[in-house]
Amino acid sequence: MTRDVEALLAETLERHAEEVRPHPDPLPDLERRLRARSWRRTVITAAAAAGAVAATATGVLLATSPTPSSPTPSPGTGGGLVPAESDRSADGVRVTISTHCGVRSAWVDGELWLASPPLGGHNPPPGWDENETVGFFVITAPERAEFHGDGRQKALFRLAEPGTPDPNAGCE
Amino acid sequence: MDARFAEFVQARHKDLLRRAYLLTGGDHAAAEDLVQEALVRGYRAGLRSHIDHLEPYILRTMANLSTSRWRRASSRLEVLTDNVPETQREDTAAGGKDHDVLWDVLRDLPRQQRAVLVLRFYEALGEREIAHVLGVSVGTVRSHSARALSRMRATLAMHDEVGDPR
Repeated sequence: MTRDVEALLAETLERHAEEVRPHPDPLPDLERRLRARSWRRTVITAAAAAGAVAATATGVLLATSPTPSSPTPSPGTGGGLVPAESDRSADGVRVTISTHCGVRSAWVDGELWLASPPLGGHNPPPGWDENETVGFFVITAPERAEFHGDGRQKALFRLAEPGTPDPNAGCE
Repeated sequence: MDARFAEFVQARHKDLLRRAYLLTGGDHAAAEDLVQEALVRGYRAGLRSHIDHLEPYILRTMANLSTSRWRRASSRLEVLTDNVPETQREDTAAGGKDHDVLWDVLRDLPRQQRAVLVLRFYEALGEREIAHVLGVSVGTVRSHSARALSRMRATLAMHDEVGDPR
């Protein structure tokens, strides 16, 4: 007997997809995961900053740096990315830049900034940390900013137009 | 949590879970975990304020996570629910046995082959789109699809020859 296996398979997938019984409210579990992840990233940021401060006292930015983020997640905030891992000072905002797929973008206070130029192709640039680099993000002109890493790394950024996709979004 | 992101999750969760359920070969707990992990990654990637870009990102992330060994290393934060999914069902409709045979084969496929079939026959994506989603070549998509379908045809033929062995 000959059958159209492709059509049968499409029907099979449709039928079995209907078997799912979703949790009536997926948000509490998602909130919990976001808080857990925010906690982990904050600890990483704080540890990296503390290590950098102990290792050097030469950088102007570091000399005036604020106390690293508290490793205690703040209940009720939902573990939002920026508030949990950034501290403000006169020198800018403390941020963690993803470097795993190169230095391509940064999210600061909910706004996307694009590295101009991007650094490192699709790999961490020489001298940058393997996955993330911690430092200060400083606005230097309208829609222009500089990132100064704790290890003296530097990158230039420009503010992305609204709706611009994050070039780093697919980085795993 | 951002209000628009929460609204997206509430509106799209069931559909995302269906896709995840297929990608995981019918593992309900793994599917819940897969959706949640992809949502967390989307949120952290800053897409919470770019909802239009979020769903394609979530699908791509789920497809790629489903083909990796992510879940073994994850914290296995699973949702406890009173709603137990059906694992067996009575199906007397025409073609029902064929569907069961294909489902069994699908669940037994290598993860990347299964992902290709789900993206092609549930999501109705083309070969190039599937290649982009999974980060593989079009040739790899074709070969995975051909092998998986060939196995399904052979299994159906075997069932025809020996009758229903169930």
